[in-house]
Amino acid sequence: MSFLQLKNISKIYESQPVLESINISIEKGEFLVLVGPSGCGKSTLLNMIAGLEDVTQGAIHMDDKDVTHVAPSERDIAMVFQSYALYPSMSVRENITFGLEMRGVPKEERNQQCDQVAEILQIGHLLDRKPSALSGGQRQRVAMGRALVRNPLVFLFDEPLSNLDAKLRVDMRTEIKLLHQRLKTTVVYVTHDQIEAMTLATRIAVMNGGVIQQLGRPDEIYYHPRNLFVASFMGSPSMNLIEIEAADVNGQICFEIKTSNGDKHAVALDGYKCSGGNYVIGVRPEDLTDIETSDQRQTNTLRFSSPVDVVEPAGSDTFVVIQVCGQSVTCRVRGDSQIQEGGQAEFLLNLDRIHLFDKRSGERLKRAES
Amino acid sequence: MMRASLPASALRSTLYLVLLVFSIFYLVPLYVMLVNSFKELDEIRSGAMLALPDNFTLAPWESAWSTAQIGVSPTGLKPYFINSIAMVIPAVLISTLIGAMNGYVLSKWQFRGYRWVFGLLLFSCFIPFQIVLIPMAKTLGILGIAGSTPGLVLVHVVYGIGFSTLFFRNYYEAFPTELIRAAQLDGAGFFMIFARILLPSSGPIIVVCIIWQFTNIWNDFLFGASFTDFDSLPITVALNNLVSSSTGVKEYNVHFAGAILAALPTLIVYIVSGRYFVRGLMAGSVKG
Repeated sequence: MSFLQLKNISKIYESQPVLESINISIEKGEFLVLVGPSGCGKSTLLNMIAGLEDVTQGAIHMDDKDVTHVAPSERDIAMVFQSYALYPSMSVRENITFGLEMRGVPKEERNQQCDQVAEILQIGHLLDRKPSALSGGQRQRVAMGRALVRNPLVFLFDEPLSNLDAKLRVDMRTEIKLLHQRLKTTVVYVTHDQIEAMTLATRIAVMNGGVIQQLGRPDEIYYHPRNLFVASFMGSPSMNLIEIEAADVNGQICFEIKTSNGDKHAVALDGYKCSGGNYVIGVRPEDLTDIETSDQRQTNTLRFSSPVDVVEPAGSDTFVVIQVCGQSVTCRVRGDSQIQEGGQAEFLLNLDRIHLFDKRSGERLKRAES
Repeated sequence: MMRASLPASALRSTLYLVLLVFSIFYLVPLYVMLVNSFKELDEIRSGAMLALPDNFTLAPWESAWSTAQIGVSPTGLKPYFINSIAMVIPAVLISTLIGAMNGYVLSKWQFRGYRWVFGLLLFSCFIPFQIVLIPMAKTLGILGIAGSTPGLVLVHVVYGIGFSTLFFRNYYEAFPTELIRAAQLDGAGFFMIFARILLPSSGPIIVVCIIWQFTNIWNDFLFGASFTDFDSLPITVALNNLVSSSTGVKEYNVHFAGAILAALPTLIVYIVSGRYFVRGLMAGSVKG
């Protein structure tokens, strides 16, 4: 039996469907990240788990109990909000212990628990301050302290890092991960940042348009995206999607790669059960590199030369934009690469890592293991 | 340079001159009242309204406060001043509290049709007082509090709720809803959230509401004249009676002193908290 179960959940808001039949089972200690573009329903789903929004259809089970219609305060959950939602008129200590006070925990015990949490989060020196006298990162910690002190069954995070500056965000990300490893509490975490999702999650649910597009481990999501939406949403820079016309030749799927200097290269892929037609191939930037960068273990590669349109050095990597089949495509090469804009360069395409999608349905085509 | 700045400074001087003229225009009545309230009646009759008193005397103030003829009894304004205080304090506090509660519900616990309720409450701000005099008198009669201070308090509370709700609704509209949700998750209920989360952050708007209500209720004449008996008259009505119940001579100095006495509380409230008033109004309007 799973620890937290969302059974066939739908939400209709002002006769507009927001979520459609969501089914997720979460095991104890899991870190589930709900990720998707804004308006995909991920925050609504989180609020429904919290009990802050009504469920139109379906049921939520928590620790084997049906909590679909249980009040938020009775659910044994704690939530960290995007704006931190610290009570402005209370000190940090009062903020952290307010939930305990509401539950009738004696003052002595409250303070003791508050001190413990403050030590974990290193905010002991801030306990007497008001939230207005704290920096963004400190507020974030206090908000987490308020959740931690309750020692709940499930932690809910609603885009907790999106109000922090870039550097602090990365630091806090690591801290949240460490904290989860240490406390082993179940977490449901909402973000629109796919890197946050990849780094933190034990499982990711990619959502779009009120529907779960794919639910799986980060590596599954990244290496086997189920459809074009997941493929383009996860990964930075995003996956190159190239429309092609393919033919079925002796059980192999064949198509041409055209570069802007007029060269044509035939590609044949094994293991697909499909006929000719219009497809989209997906290539991650790291699977399209130059000779210097390429992994020696790759054997099944296509080598071709192409004029270079744009070179974008990003420090550890350099991104090179070329034209393939009339579309701009990003290649990832070494940071110290000598490739010049306007020049020619040799590229290697890793054929084992090509993703093939049906153009009309956007679904991924399964490839038989060879 | 010189040619450019010359008209500019001339403009500025003109501006100050105009402002000065207007200030004098507004302040002269107050000056006349103040100066003449310290004069003896003979001195006022001799003319020179604007002159400072020759023989400074506090007698008109004493008379206005405790011995002047109000209607049929020579009690001065003192008992009516106390009436007004006993009426204005509960009326202001109750209407502010209900307004705060209404604002809280209308912004954070929105229910089906809340827009209508809010719209009707706003509409109540614009109903002329005269229209409701008779139905209100009837209601007070049914409730058995006609002609008493509690009755007048009720009338002012009912009339104050429209504005106080508007103030608090707009203020709480800008209050982050996530805080309410966080408190809900922490296990706080409806009243607990109101008392512990919202009220402590409502300082500026409470001040605005109190000043607004205090001034309006203190200065009210129509309701005071309509819904009270002789022993519960508010000071505004008593002042009118003081001025109109003459025993032959018009005691202008006593009238002036009485008028200042009647205006004093609102004046004090403005001077003490006027700064917060402007600040709170801004906070409410800009964010709301």
